[in-house]
Formats: sequence, C-alpha cells, structure tokens
Amino acid sequence: MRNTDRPRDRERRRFIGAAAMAAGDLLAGGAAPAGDGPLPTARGAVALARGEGVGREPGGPVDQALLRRWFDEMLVSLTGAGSARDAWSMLFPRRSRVGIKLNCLAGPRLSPRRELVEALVDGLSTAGVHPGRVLVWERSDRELERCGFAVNTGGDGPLVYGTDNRAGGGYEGRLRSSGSVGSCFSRILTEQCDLLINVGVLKDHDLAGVSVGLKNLYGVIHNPNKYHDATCDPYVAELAAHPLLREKLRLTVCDATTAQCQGGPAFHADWAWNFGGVLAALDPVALDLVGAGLIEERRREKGLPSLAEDERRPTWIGTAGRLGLGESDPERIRRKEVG
Amino acid sequence: MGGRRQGNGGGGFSGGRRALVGSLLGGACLLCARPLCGAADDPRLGVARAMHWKALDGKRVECTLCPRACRVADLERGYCGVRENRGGEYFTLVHSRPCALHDDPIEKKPLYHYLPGSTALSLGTAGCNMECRFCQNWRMAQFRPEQVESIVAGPRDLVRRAVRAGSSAIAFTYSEPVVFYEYMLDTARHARRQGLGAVMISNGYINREPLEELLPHLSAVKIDLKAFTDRFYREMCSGELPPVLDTLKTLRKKGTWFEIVVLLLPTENDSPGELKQMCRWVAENLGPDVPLHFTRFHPMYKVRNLPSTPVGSLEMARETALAAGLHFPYVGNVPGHPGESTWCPGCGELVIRRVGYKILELKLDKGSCTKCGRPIPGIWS
Repeated sequence: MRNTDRPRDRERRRFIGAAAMAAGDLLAGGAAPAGDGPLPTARGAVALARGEGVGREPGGPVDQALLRRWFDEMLVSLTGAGSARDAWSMLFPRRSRVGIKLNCLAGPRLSPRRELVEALVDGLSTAGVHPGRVLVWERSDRELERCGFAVNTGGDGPLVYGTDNRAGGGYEGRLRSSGSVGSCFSRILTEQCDLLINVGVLKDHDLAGVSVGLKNLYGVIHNPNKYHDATCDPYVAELAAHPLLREKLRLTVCDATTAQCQGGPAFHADWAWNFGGVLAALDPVALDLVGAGLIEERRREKGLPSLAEDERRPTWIGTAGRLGLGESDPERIRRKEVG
Repeated sequence: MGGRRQGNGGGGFSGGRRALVGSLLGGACLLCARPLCGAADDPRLGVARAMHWKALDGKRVECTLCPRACRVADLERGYCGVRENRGGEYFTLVHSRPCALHDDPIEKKPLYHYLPGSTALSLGTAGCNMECRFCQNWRMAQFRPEQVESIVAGPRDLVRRAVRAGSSAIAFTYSEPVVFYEYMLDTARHARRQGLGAVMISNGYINREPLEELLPHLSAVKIDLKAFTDRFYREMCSGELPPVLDTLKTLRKKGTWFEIVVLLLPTENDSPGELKQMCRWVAENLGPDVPLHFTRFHPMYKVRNLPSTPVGSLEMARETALAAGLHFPYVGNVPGHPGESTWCPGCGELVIRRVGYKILELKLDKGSCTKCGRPIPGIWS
C-alpha cells in the first residue's frame, strides 16, 4: 500500500493538483493525485440537475443516458473545465483506482440507483479510467445485492463488493483516530482506492437529521454505532476530517431521484417524494447544506416540524465547515443548476 | 436518563444471495441481483426476537434493556451494535453466535469465592453497551457480529460442552453479556436445569427489570466497577456511574453472590480520595464481605499513553479497602502477590493461596476457616 501520509507526498500532490487545474487533461496519463478538499473554485458550489419524470417510481428505472449527460454538465460547471472529458480527467487521472461508496441501507427504493452508478463508471471511462479500476462498494455484499448490484470480485467491468467480502472481515486491524472518532477503516478504502466518489441519497435521518453525503462515510468504519449521540455532532465531521478521507474524497454525489423528508434512514412511502434530480459537488459540506435545505423545504410543505424543532438539526454540517472541509455558510453557497 | 435515538446502519437483511459475477456495464441480466424473497438471513447472525423494548411511533423502538435507552429507527441498531430494528420490531443478532468459547479457570473471571479451582465454559459474542477506552477485549466488544468470526452454539450445545469438559459453570464473559441477554438467559435457564452454574461477568450497565428477571438463573455475578466518578464513566466509558451502583445494590438485595473488580488506571481512577469514597460506599451499601479486586491495567485499545498500573497503587487500594472495613480486598493481575490470596478476617490465617489462576492451598472446611472456624462468605460447593 502506498503511504499517503508523508508531508512531502502531500506537498507533491498539492502541486500536481494545482497543475491539474491549470492543465486539465495534461494530467490524464499521470499518477493519481489526491487533494486537500475541493478545488478552490469549487468551494461552496453545488450542481443540481432535475428532470421531469426522472425517478417517478421509487426504485424504478431511470434514464441512464440522461444521468450521464447531467454528470458531464455538472462536472464542467463545478470544475470550470472546457469539456466534459477535461472535467472528468481533472478529477480522476487515468491511472487512479476509484472507489464509489454507495449508501444501500434502505434497500432498492431509497438507495443509489444502478443507472446512476453506471453513468459514473461511464464518465470515468471518458477520463481513461478503465472500469476494471473502479470499485463499487458498500459495507456488505448483501446490501449491494439487495439494491440490484451483482457482486463482481474479478470479472469484466467494475469490481463490486462489500467490505465484508474481504478476508478477516475487511477492516484494518489498527485503529485510526480523528478527533473523538477512533475506528478501524475498511481496507477497501485504505488499500484499494486512490480516490473516492461518495454517493449518498437525499433523505431524512432519525439520528443525524439528514443523510445526504458525509453521513454515508460512517460506512467506511467498523463501529458507526458508537457515533450517533448528539445528532452525530461532531462525529460525522471529525470522521470526514481524517486525512485518508480528506485526501481521497474527490466527488460527492447525491441521488435525489427519490428523496425522503421524514422517517429515514429506512424507506417510508408516506414520506418519500419524487424529487427527480441529482446533486454533485467537490465541496461535500456545501452539498450537505444544500441537501439539508431541500429536506427542510419539503418538511415545511408537508407541515412537519423543522429538524431543529424535532431536536435533530444537523449541526455537524457547521462543524465540518469549521474543520475546513468545505463551505457551511449558506450565504456563500452557489447553486449551479444544469440539465 | 432520557431516551437517546440510536442507530448504526443495519445489515443482516433478509434476502440476497451471492450473485453471479458480472459486469456492471455488461448487461442488465448480470446486473440484476434483486433480493430473493424468503431467502435465509445472513448466516453470521443469530437473529431472535429481543426482550425488553417498546414500540414507538414511525416504526421506531426504544430499548429498555440497559440505561442507554436507545431509540432506534427502522433498520438501525442500538449503541451495542447487536440489536436491530426490523420494521418496528427489535431483534438480537447474536443469539447462539459466540465469537469466543473457552474453558477457563473460574479465577480468571475473577471469581475468588466461587468454587475455587473449578473451570467455567466461558463465552462471549460481539458487542458492548459501553465503549471503554481501555477495553481489553475490544476486538470482540467493539465490533459488530458480521465483523467477527463466530460459531453456532445454542444453549443446549453449551451445556453439553460444559458437562463434557467437567466445568462447574457456564460463564458469560469476554465482551458484555447484557447485550446478548436473550442468549444468556436461555442458556442460564437450561444450565440450571442440568445442575450447572451460570455466572455473568458484566459492567453492570443493565436496567433493574431485566436484571431481576435474570438473577434467579445465575449463581454468581462479577461486576466491573470502572471508577467511582461520573466523569470517568462519561469520558472513558461512554456510560454513567449511578446505574452501575443501582445494579450492585440490586445484587445485594436479591442475595446473589457477587464480586467487584476495579481496573486501576494510573492518574485516572486511582486517587486515594476516590478509592476511599468507593470503599466506604461498598462497605455501607453492600456490606464488608463483598470481594473487591483491584487489578492491574496494561495499555490497550485507545489508552496507550498510560503506563501499567504500579503494584504500589494496587497495594494502596487494598489497604484503603481494609481500612474501610472490607474483609476481602484483592490485588489482581500480579501473579504471586500475597494480595491474590484469601485471608481469614477473623484470625488472619491464609485460607486460599493463589498464584495467578492456580490454587495452591485451600484451607476451608465446609466454607469456614480451618483454624478459627469463621465462615468465609462465598459458594464453596
């Protein structure tokens, strides 16, 4: 495993990252860089695409080609690249091994859709990232299978499996600490991914207030049950601040084709609605802030108390901002609508 | 203590299978691994309906087993990581799924006044309702059941194994038996029917009702009293002190044989003042005859910045206990130390000589000192 913690390496990666911003696809054939947070130009920027009729049925089919186009437009918008290929290449160098971490807890009606993941894999391929270097993962094989993803540990196409597919349970034997969080990390994250795409779902969460992006990172550690007190604050933020995640997390995507404003994290038909969209950001905090706003808006429409009134305001978003993980000031959020 | 919402992210869904290896891009038929209705649950889990919980609105449940009072949303788990809400019903995931099973000397628990020299078939599952930063068995206690290697061993299997091994009891230990309450209760019931003992080695973080339901089936209990300050419980264990003291008082009231262990962490819970308060409380509330073991800490889990407990601290704690009027304070994890042995509080004679887990001398006659005839409290036969 490559040591990603050495200061000299970090400096080098910062340099390469800066060069990538300037040179776009010049980096496409180079080594896989990792970064320290979003590109400066993307701080506070959240791209949002919505379409009539997308995701009308929870868990039903969606137009993969449309999602693919949305991703291209969103990444161009977020990176300022001249083309979709440049945008993908800027974020994901050709030789990088990219993990796509899903959130499949709620089952097929409220989890990232297969078509969305396929659109991401296809987008990566335009940057030269071979599908065989992409690993779609969750905590367990069963969670993936339940949501329609076939486990693939070595066939053609992207690898698909859970942390538990690996020998010995799949978690590192050592503890890693970040603030008050002390956990064993999934070896998929530590050993098999250079870069990470975090794919969450736009939904209410009984403990954290919302689960949009950063909350999904609980799925990379062995003991998430220990970090649910106090509406998960500061735990969500402190986990995301771990250097491993900070350096590898390159893109956060939120599947909002079907969303849910109450009763999460499980699917509840009464509270689910057809949002028909997708959110993406290089700034994970900004994405959570926008997602939380959308959920609050829906709660108001449905006559539900606000998350604050329900004593589960996602204060960890502010904590994440204070830890420098992204923008948590609503005044500085830039929504970029595409599609 | 107010109820806390709790969760963990589930797992262990019904349905699913190891699907065909296929390409995500290669075609729908290979992609589609929709769950198979009615398929078996994850074999790593021992799923059984949980006891001691109540239903809340919106398919949520509140666990009433321990003082955490986790409020758990659908598909989520309690703080312990081994009890899961499935559609508004609460389930244990570790019934009959021990991840450690050994025949141990009873002295290892430690229970010094319970059938000395005997062994106990000892088991534990994944999970714990505290998170002690110094946890000695964190690779079991701080993991979820899918993350540890476990075997299938139901209550009858355990009793058969214990009888075959010549064990005096089945010991629920290693992690935290409270979180595998149903498994423990079923096993203890069966063991007692077969004439075997059943002992619980616990942090005592359990509500009174489930405790009182369990006690008639247990022959002895050991409680870890982590410290005598709420600060230590909150900061070092993610728990609270008062419920543990309540448990100790309940044990006393119900007449269950119990012993107390205090793991001394240098500078954290070993001040003379705190130990004095603790010993005085034990003497006043539990009586002078409860054995109190002061054991040596070694750096572990998240506490690696402290040295091992100096033997002098353990000796000081033992002296403090004696001064408070306690009859049976011990020094633990220091093999060969005289404080490991039992001394008659009447005549001062050595009654049981121990070195580590070995009994070298046993000078008891029907539970009484052979020299002065004073009864030594405990379970001796």
